Amino acid sequence: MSETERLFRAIREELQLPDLVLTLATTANDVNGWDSMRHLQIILRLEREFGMKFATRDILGARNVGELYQLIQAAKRP
Amino acid sequence: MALRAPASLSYAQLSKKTAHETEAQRMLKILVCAEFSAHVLVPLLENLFAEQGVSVSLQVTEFSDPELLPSLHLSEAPDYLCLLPTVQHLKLRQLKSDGSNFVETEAQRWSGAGELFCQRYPTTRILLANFAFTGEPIDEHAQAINLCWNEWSRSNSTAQIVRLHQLSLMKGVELWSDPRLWYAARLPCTLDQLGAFAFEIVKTMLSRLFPLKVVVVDFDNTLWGGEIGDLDPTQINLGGTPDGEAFVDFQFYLKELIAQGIILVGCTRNPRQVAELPFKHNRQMVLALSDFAHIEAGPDNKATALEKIRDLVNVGLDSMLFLDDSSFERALVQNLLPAVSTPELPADPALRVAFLRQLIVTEAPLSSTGRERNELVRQNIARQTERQNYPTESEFLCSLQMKASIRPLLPADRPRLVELLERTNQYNMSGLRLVPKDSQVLGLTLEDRFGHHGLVAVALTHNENDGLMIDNFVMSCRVASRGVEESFFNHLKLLARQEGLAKMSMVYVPTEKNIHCLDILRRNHFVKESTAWICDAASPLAPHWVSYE
Repeated sequence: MSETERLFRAIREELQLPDLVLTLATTANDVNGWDSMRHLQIILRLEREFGMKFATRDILGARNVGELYQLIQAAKRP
Repeated sequence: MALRAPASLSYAQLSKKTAHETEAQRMLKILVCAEFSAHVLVPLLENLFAEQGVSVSLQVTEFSDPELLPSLHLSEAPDYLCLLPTVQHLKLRQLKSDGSNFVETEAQRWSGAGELFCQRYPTTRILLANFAFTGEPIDEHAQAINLCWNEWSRSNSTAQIVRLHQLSLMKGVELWSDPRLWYAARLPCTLDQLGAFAFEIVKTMLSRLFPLKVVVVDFDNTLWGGEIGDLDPTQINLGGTPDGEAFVDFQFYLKELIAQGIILVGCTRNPRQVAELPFKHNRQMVLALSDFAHIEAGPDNKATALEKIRDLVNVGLDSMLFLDDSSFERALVQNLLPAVSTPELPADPALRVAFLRQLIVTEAPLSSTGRERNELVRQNIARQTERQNYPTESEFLCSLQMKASIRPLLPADRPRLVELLERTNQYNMSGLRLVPKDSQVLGLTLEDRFGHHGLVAVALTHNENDGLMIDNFVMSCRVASRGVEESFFNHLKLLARQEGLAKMSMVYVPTEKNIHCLDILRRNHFVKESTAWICDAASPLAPHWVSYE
């Protein structure tokens, strides 16, 4: 499974929306139920999923799924 | 009602779940004042309370200034004011403080504001969450403030402490909090811990509202490993092995509960002589036979045994907790006696104490009577056993040689007064838990040939027009059906006549638990007139088997 697929799956599971269609351009505002608390759940799930930590400024800073993806990639760079 | 173990403490589950497993028996209004984004707790509290059969109406305000509390305008008094300060804000205030009296000032800010609020809303109780630990130097101040609050709650009958410090220690600082979530979302702990945080509030509140009174414990594979019917008492698994050590600690935990005023009852299907063997012959036993208020031994199924125990100890099934390693016995009790709290005791003995510590909140008894409750119930059961030797009830009651003393209460009686008003449900006429300013408080102490019962009944009275008004009458269920209330009322009538008052009025507020009060009123010739129950002060009705001064 590609990393974007793992990212999408984790988001769908945390939102408990198995059929949600996600792209890298999707924003929280596009999805019913993706509120700030649900966003924190997603962030903590992604940390576990990808073995990384988001910086505080990035926890609420990502504007769309693509930016979350980039933050995960950046955390993996040495 | 003893607590039911929550199905889940996961934030994801609790923040979504809305299907309530039990029908709400009670509605509580709670005002939450927090120094963090406490709205996040609302669905968690609603779901966790619903699991306990309580529905809640929550109003949440966020502020760091408890001085504002008394000026809050509310349409009605909440049942609870839940104060949730945070150690993160404490840290900021400490940085700004000049250091003088920091601990006292901080402790007083919250407890004082709570008290002021309660002066305005006298029926409201206070719940104050103490400071969680952070692993930082601020913990020293936090701990000192927490100790001040413990003292305060001991002297303030309407206040209780939510022990977040204990929870944070149990979870470990790293698991408990995540500074990023504080800065990003004003959350005092991680999402994973919010469920435990909310449950700590729920169990603290319910421990006072529906206190656990009796723990009924099975013997084989619960107090020790193995079956005493098949083993020599020195061969049971107790001490010396990993599981054996865990059984020893489990017995120490039950001892701790007895010291907290919990009544301990044994319940075994073994014949009594067999069940007693480990107590007599195994030196690893921590509990002694004398630690049990009663042992119900014999072939009855556990539900039947629990009903017998309820009748003997005279408490409601909903004040009982049943501990048994057997899933069969637990299922039977859960099915036949759903009011009894029957937690799924972990199969591994090493996990049981930690499991129960999370489920049970006990409050240190305020009075010596509270600390000796187990022994007092033991004496009472001995009295009931003695009853079988007398052909009639009145002959038995005469044989007890009861002596009552009725007197105005002294300051030293206050802890016991608070216990009686707070803990008594069955024989509590009006449910009034506080003493009104203009009330006189009279108490009755009782002794008989089996021992001292201590202070067992109180009446809060004041004079009104041509009558003596009893704002509340509360009596310990240990002395029910002995003529205590008749003796007390007789004395009150005497006082009324001395003051030239012709009538005595009682406030009776029916609840689901105080139906016995209605019998007492009728037996004592009280007649309902509009909102109060009235009786003539001229008609003495004291039983001859209680002598009193």
